[in-house]
Amino acid sequence: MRRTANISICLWLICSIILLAGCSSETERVKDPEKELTFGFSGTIRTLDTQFITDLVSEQAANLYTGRLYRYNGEGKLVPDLARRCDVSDDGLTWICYLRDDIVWSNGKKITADDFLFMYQRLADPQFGSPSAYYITSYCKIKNANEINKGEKDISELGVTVLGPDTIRVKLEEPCPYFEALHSSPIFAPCNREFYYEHVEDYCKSPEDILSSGPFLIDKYEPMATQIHCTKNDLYPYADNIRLEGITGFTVSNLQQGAMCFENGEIDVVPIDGEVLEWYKDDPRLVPLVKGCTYYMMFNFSNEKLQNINIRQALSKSIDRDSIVNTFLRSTGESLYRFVPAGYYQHLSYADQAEAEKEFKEINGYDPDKARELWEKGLSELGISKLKIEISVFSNYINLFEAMEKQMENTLQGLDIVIVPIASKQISVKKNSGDYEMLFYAWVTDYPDPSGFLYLMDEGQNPEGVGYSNQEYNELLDESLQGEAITNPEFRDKILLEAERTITKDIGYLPIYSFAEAYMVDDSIKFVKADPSGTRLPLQYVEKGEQP
Amino acid sequence: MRRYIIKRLIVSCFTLLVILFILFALLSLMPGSPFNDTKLSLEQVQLLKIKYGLDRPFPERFLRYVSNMLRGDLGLSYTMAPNTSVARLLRTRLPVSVRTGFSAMVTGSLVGLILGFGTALYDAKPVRWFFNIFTILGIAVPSYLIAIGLSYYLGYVHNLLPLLYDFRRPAVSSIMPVVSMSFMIAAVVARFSYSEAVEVMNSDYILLARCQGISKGALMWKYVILNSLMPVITVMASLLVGLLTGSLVIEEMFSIPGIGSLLTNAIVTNDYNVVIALSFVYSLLYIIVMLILDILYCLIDPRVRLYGNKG
Repeated sequence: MRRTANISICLWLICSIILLAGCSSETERVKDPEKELTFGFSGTIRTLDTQFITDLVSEQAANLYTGRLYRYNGEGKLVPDLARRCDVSDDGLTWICYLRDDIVWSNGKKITADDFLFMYQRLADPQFGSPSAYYITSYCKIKNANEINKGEKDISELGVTVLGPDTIRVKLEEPCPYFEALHSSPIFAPCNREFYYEHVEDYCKSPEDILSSGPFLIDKYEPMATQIHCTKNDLYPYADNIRLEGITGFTVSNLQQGAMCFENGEIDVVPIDGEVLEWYKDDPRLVPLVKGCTYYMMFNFSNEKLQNINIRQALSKSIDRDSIVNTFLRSTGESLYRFVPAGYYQHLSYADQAEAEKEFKEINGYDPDKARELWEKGLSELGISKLKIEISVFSNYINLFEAMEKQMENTLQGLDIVIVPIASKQISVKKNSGDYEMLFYAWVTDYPDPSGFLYLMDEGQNPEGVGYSNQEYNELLDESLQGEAITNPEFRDKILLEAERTITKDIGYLPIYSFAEAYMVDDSIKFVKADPSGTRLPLQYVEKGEQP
Repeated sequence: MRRYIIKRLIVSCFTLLVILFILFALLSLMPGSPFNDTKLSLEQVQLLKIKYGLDRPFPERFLRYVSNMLRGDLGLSYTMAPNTSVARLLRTRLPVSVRTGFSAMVTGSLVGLILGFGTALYDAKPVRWFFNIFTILGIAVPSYLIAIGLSYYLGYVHNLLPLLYDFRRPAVSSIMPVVSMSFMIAAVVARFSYSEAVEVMNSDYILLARCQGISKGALMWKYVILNSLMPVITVMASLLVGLLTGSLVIEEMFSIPGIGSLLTNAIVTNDYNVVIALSFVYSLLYIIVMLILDILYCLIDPRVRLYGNKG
């Protein structure tokens, strides 16, 4: 009897567990699927706290609910968003931004200049610990921001002043000609001081703790979310331009799963890559974005052998980039012969850019005969007959580098390449310490301007003696922040192009390929162009419905 | 039994403390820091370390972490979900993994028990043939491949089930992940239950019961199943912990917001607090499951007496 009771208890427990395990609420389905976009993100959405965003997926998600001074429209053009306009002084050191007078938060309160001031304070003040402080200490050097961030000055000394409820003044340490483009990033989304302190523990961690200033309202989100939902914000000043009623975002980590979701209509826009690209390479629904992410190798210039320019150029000319791209990247990649990807010089003529492209290809393009000639010359100058070089590579790219290793060793007699796999989290350690001979590096700018790439090689960005150092190069970068360059964007682009020419001729880096995400877009979608860096899609301009 | 449980709990606390210490020590020895963004200057990295107390000596950090943990504070995520409490991340993700894992366990166990005992009862060739193929495939084929197969046929070809976990339809969108994970469970449980059932059925007291005219069904239910359950439950318990802690591959495939993918992300990004908390949770779950298992032994088989227990 007792045993039967014991058994009954066990069975009861099991059944309860089955019932509890199966229990879950079925929530409402979307009201109007025709006006609802389902979008695939390539990773989890880590945070929506804009001053703490460090990854592209979170930035894309934050793009949905935040307004900024400027934003990129669906055609890839920079337009005012929450600002009416921004004026800059002749010396380029003072920007005064005038906000629209009809901008409100999603709780109905007015967005004011103080909201922008608080945003800058959250970036600069070390008590907040923003990992994005470099936006105002490096990219756009706001007065005293660097000292404040180091704890050397008080936050009250920050070079940002509220001149009126709708006017804010930003004082800089040096000119920032890309100020407007930089302020299109969600990092510079305003932050309401009162709301922040009321919700400080859970700020931006759930819909109730998120205040929207942009095209959509977040109504489903948790930190590290694999799913997000937002609905149209009718209080947004440009709400009339938004054709969608809502967006549901899913994380698509597995590409085959994503492709199947796309084909059966579960997701309208899905990121694809790798082998899945092969299935769709000729499909008209494939939309590759601007290839704004560059992959290149850095040289350690304290290495005597790598100081030889013939050796460096021989290494570059021994790589058949086209075969690497066709094998490993397909239509998401493009061979790269330069430092700044195509399309970043927005104020230069097509002819100027084409000529530069041709010049860079001549310097770095695949030419095994020329490579051997330069190699022999370099070895002879160094007085050696063979050379061993270690290349530190992210472990995800070992296959690609093994293919490159074969190409280079087969072309250059006496070359022995040793690939050193490293975890991605060790890259910054190696770069900052100079602990490498050659380092495989990837870069995508946070703002769509050539200087975002060129400053990587500026003296001071790398350990002394390790990084590229060229007086002429540094002077050109300085010149791009002075005089006519401040007010004449075409003149500035020419200076930056000249800087790029200088470092490329000097073989200060070894470019390999540029890369961008590609998306499969359903036929019913009228898609949009990303910003020039290819990292942010203005999804509010997407239209869904029968397309002509 | 009470004394036994109390003693086990005390030993478990000590075990967990040792595990925590080892985790802390190992993470301290790892190169780099949580702040690996190449755009951060060395000074900014140092400031962030000071803000989060990572510049303090190891013993101070460890003692502070333990005392906070006793108050339910598992610290903050540094990089994955900045300034989000680890407890909050666990609160949102752990139930999803537990629910999915438990469902897979129950489904797989039921199928396995029915198949295993049924095959032992109905010793016919076609039944044994099906049993052998099912169990071999279930053990040999990874859950990932089963998931792909189910996704292709049920999700893509016939569009019967959603391919990704959807918060709007959590039950329906969990079916494929649950079934994928339960295949191996069903196979292992079926194998164990079959072999235990056959051994029990060949024992003398069963022969006596059959001679006394007890029907095969009653024999199976009253004697064979119950006497075969102990080793089967032992196997199920160890499989359960693995399932509760989330299958990374299945979670990644179906975009399930579980703790398997959370732990992997935390390891890659050096998010110390999340790694420690999740590893601690895994250890805690294992200890709890083993304790429940011991209690179940006692309930199922009265002959089993735990240490110091007088029944």
